[in-house]
Amino acid sequence: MFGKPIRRREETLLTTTIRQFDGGKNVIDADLNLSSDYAKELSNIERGIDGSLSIRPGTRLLVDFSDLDSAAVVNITYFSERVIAVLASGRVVSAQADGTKTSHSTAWAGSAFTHVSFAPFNGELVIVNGVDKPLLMADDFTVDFLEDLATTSNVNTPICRYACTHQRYLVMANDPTEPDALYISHKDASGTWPGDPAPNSAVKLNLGSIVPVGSAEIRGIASFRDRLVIGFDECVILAQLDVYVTSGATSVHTPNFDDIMPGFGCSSHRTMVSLGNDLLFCDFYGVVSLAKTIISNSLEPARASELVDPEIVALLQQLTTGTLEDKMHAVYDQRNRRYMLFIPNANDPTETICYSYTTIRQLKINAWATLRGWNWAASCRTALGNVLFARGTQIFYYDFEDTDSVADYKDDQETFSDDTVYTDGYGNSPTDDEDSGVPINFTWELPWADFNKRMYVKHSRYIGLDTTGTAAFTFQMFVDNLYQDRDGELTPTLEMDFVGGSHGGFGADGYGDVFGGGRITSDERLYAWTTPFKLAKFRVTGETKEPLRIVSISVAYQRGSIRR
Amino acid sequence: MAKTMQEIITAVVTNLSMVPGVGAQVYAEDRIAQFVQRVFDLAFEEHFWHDYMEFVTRSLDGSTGTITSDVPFSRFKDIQTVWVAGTETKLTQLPRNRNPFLITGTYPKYVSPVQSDTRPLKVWPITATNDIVIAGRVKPDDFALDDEINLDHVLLEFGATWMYLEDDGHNGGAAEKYRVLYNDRFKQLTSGTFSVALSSDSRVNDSMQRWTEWP
Repeated sequence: MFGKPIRRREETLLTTTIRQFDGGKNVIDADLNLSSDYAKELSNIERGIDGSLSIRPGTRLLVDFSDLDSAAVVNITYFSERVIAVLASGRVVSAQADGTKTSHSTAWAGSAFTHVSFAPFNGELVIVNGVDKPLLMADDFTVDFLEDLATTSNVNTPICRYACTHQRYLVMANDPTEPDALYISHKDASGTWPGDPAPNSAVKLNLGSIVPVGSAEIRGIASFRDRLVIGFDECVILAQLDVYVTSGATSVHTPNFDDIMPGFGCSSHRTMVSLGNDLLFCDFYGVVSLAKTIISNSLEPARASELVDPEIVALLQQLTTGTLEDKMHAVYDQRNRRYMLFIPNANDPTETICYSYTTIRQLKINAWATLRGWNWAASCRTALGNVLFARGTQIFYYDFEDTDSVADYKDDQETFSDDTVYTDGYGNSPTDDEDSGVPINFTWELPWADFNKRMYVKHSRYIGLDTTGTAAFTFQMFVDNLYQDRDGELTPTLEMDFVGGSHGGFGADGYGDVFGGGRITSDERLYAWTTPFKLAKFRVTGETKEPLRIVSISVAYQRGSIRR
Repeated sequence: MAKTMQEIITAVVTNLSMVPGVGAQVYAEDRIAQFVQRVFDLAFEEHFWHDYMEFVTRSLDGSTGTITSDVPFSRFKDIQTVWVAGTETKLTQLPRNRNPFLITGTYPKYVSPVQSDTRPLKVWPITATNDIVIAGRVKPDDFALDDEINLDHVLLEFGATWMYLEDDGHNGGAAEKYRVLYNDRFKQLTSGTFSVALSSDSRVNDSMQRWTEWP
């Protein structure tokens, strides 16, 4: 009955596989100019060290200080195997890894400060807030005011917002009465300042006349290699300390400020993070990278956030300078080589949007992603590479160890029995379920692709995904610029739900979970995926508490004529 | 044993090395169902399949040559044979070279098609009054997923698989294989239909002494 086919038989089925994701998020370039390395949207998914894309780790509650003090955490730091927190009430507290909490000082009680800065110096921790005299936490965690050891007085100790340690000196900046002043302590003595008795090499320098452009108010200071980096609104000065000019028997500490970089500034001291071979910080236009050049051995600035600058600038422009100084912060996730910059979404923030920058210079990887669902007031890194976050009276940590769950706020919140949460993303609390935490929403969207044949119609036939993990996700395909309707609702042409390749399959899940075990991506059989197109865009989205790693996407398709 | 549409679709999915399961293939099952339906439609036209044959008796109105009540056959070409009731006389198609209105009498002689879903034939002379017996095939409505299909499921499976593979444009040998399998299966079914002995002389004779033909 079926006679011979009309045309001569030939292979017309082609396949293509996308497996390189090193580019990260890119909102600058036009879609058709982008390779599949880049993503138009990368939310809560990051480029991993192994080259795959994976859902970010979840977070777990470490400690809640509410039984010590109801005031919220202003800033945190890691010191001597403890996390040190300064609360808005002025109380200085600490927490250990086992959850033991200790209150150390209420010296700042009643003070109206909004900013706290830390500087470890000589085995002790200096704490400043720009309103009160600085505190000093000793290695036994006792806290007192920072004072000159000779006179036991802190009358000459400056009040500043920012502090850092550089080459055996404690440096402070942004005195509220003299915002362009830079205070450098006596060498090896954190409590000896200008005006204290000799021996005293401490100096105070007003840098206003050195700043060539913009405001002279110091926005941040950081130690990087052999330079003290001083950030202003529209320029950065690289100071060289430990330079003395001797006149007779007198030697005066005379730092060198001859390396000035206009065009790059700093908007927040708390965003300045040293990666060892790179210093990253945020100015009013994006993230600046300061690194040593190979040939000249000098420090050269560069704009590290080129590919996501429009988004960052749009966020920064709606914030006041006070919000930028007090509520924007950054931390370096050393395990995954990520600089995490937290930008509040409003002056009274309901979310701090994290711009996560995976940078591995040796592998030439520089990939941006956004991490959502958080509202952290502060963050810091521990010596073992853990990352801590603070919100309200609580400290959370990045749960790298739990590889079976990527839920957020474990041990603090949980979903309702139908796996939903409140509309603002918060879960039910307190949690009494072992399986606690709230799911993470993730999205990965590729740019429009023409499969190297822009004018030809392609007919997709099958889809294949290589993934690991057990999370369920939705895979969508948009074609020919048909992306959303007039109401802004997305209109994918094809859409299918899958589960990660490590999922157990039919019968493995408990009641109420994925029906029939879901479409497992590790099944090497085919999934039909049929549509004609000239341009295609892929999108992966979902909400899960389970891990997922995307290794590659494969499409089998035929090439047709040029007539759609 | 007849299989349902869903069972045949699952078999086709397996032939295509696709992941089987209820609702697993969002973008293939509907197309495969359509292919199965079309294969059935084509095979149905090729042969008067026993499972779909029916025999009915109808009266003639004696003035227009039409039957007085509906028949289950919706098309003239679904009618295999028309007898004069009570006889072995078969009616033949109206010859084209005869003026049908000059055919007179009350005994039915010819039939011709009529555009009607329920009474698709007309008997000549139009004044014929005898009852007639009609044998024909009844085409079922398009199948739903849980409908059983009383046509060889292997035939449908091979045909639908071939149709899908041709659209892939890949591995022409695999598509060709299923096309050949389909054609061979069709021949098997049509050659073996009359597994019961055929009478080589269809004239009325209930005597045991008659020639028979064995397949």
